[in-house]
Amino acid sequence: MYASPIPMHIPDGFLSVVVSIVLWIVSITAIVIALRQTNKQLGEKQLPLMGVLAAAIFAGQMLNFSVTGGTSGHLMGAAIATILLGPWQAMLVMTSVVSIQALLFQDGGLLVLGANIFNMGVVGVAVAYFVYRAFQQFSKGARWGILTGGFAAAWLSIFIASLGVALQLAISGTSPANIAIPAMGGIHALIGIGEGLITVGALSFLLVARPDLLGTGDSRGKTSIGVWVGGLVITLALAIISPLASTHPDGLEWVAEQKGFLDTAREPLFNIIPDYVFPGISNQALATIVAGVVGSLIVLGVTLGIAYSRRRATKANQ
Amino acid sequence: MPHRLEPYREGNSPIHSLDSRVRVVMVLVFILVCALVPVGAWAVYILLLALILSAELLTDLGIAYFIKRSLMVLPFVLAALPLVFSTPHGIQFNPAGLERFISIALKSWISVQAAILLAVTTPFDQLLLALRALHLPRLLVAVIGLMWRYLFVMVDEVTHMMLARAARSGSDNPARRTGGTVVWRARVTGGMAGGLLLRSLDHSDRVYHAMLSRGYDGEVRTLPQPSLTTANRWLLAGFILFAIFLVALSILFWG
Amino acid sequence: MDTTYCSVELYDITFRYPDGHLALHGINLTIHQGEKVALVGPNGAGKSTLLLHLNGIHTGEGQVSIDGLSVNHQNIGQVRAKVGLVFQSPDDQLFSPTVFDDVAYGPIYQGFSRDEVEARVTYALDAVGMQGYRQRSPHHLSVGEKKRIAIATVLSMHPSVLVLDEPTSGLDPRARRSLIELLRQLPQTLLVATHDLEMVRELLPRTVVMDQGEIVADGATQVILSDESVLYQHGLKA
Ligand SMILES: Nc1ncnc2c1ncn2[C@@H]1O[C@H](COP(=O)(O)OP(=O)(O)OP(=O)(O)O)[C@@H](O)[C@H]1O
Ligand SMILES: [Mg+2]
Repeated sequence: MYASPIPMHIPDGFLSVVVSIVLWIVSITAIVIALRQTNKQLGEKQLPLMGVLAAAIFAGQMLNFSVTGGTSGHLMGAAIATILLGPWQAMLVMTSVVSIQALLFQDGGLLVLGANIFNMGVVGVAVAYFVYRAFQQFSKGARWGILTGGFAAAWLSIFIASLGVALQLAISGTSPANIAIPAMGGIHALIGIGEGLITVGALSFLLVARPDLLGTGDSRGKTSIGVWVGGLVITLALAIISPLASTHPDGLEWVAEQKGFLDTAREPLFNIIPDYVFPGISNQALATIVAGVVGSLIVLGVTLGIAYSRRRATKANQ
Repeated sequence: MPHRLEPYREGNSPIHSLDSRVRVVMVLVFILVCALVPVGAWAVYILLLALILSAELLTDLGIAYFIKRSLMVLPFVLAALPLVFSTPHGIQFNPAGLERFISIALKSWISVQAAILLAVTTPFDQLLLALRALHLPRLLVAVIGLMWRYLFVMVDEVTHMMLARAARSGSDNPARRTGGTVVWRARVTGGMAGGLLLRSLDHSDRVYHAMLSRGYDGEVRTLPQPSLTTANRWLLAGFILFAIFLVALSILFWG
Repeated sequence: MDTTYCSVELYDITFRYPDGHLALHGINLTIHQGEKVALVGPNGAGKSTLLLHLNGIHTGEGQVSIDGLSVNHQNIGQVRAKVGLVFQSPDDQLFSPTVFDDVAYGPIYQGFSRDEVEARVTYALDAVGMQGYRQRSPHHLSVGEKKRIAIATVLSMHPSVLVLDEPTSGLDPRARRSLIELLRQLPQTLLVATHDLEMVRELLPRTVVMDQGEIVADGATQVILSDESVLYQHGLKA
């Protein structure tokens, strides 16, 4: 069995439906723009490039090094993908990676896939792009700029994405903000160091072997201002909101109230159905027992059904 | 022989023979229902669990197969654990939080079983067809398809690299401090990642040329899919109605 | 026979892959110090699997000893330093930005000082005749050059046993020739898994034949490679 080692893939059940759907919409929007941009920039060569690179990132996430006492460092890959491919293609590559992980390996849920794409594909890539480009501009493409920029991009992309995960959990009421944010942020501040070091190692390798590959879009067109600003805004927003939310968990009450609003909007709908429609099952404990009996009967029925059809099949064979 | 990571398991159970598009939608609807059921609606959880266990029984793979794989969501449950001990007045036991925690864990566990069911009973090409039928952008589906094609090649390369590194990670003198520094080890790992990426770039050039030589021009073309049979339409409609009924019922009683 | 002269001893090795495939079954093999041995057999015979047992990457049932040291969890590091394992694909073996970094991996891991690392890299690159390549990226080398560097990456650890998996596959005649000459000069105990029977005749006086996870013949190369029935029966000749 396969499981990616980065604790950033949210399983189903941990995000509220509202949060899941909102992030689906954001991710789909980003993907559509990315598709349009890659079509414009690269032409037909993009498909094999992105497909094979997505496979390499997936496999690269299995690489590890021992840190201490049985723990190990890993690669998520959003930063290195961004540096190699530019932001739009990197978004599509990370989207493919995260989707395959969810669809085939249950690493991250399906309903929350939009959120996971958002965290690792959109936030991870945009933040990495913003940081790396900033270093590039500043260092004029010097070696130190590539390496330090790569480290900073990798670290910050992990850290900021983890703050996003923590906020989503908090807004969904799955984990209190004052615990989730420091815990997620703290763990990923460390994980981010591993990501940063591996990214620097990969960049040093590429600097020797293929320095021409390390332009992030410069060689393939102009800077994507939109993503750059997006990365900056995401970074600032999460960096400011997270400490606020974790020190004032009540701040999220506002969000909770919005959800409460949804609940009240729902109520009249059900008040239309009078109580006597389900006479006798108004007691919750009773309902649970009934469900237990019905559930067991279903499972039992299926088991018997299978056994019966097997017997018939073997008889027919004889 | 399938690769050790290949999740699909062959079979001719009723679940296997379902139209893959129908199976994908049913699983998604099922997971959506899990998410919509309110906290503490134990009766509904029991029903959902019974449904998914029945479906697992029908696959002929044995329930243990699914249960073992489904336990992988366990570590993430830690993220919700603080609910049990946090109240507006500080750290103390919170019964409502406990109810919420158990609900989240159960929802997650039931949902992941549905996702496993989907992965083990749907061959990858069928999954791609279903994604296309759901109107995912064709280019994205094509990237995912190519990715799958090269996934196992890349995974094997990584496995071999790590074996080769392990083979050279030894010392003849147990007294000496070995292993280098953490930073050095991380950078070596980075070199492995860099090498992998570089080789995959070369690889993609070869794939590109092979595709060109077979007439690829940047346009992803696909065969039209047969439309759903009437029986499948009814099945799907029935399932969705049932799902709506279940959600309405659970919100009515527990919402 | 005095066991202290045994470089490699395998006693009743049986190994099953996690998917249940029985890859090795009751393997017994003894190789003496300085012996040069060929391991031949059809695809899927279990040659590569056996080689991975020599430094504890795979551990099945049975007993493996290297230089009289029985391989177990505690001394696996020592064993890996003694056994230089060269993989079939040099791409898997070479993972550092430069040739120098790659050859230095083992010595750095072993915790040697800067000077010692430098000396070992120089020795290893000299041995394979690649001194001029230190700062090159392994990625751009030819297959033959990569193979040489791959051998250097284990020579820098001063192993007493050298284990090579299909060293001549993918080489052109000249690169193959020069690799054979290189291997001839190395003083280490040599175990080479290969399909290249020409090289076996030329370089390796003893041959072990494997098929379906078992050793089916073991003896002087001259004798074994002139036994047509063995060759046909185990897919070495078609
Ligand atoms: N990781 C693995 N999991 C399961 N089975 C494996 C694995 N690796 C190898 N095998 C199987 O074990 C058997 C022996 O494989 P091995 O690679 O040792 O053969 P070989 O003699 O080196 O063959 P070749 O000449 O093709 O290199 C083969 O049947 C192979 O399919
Ligand atoms: Mg082999």
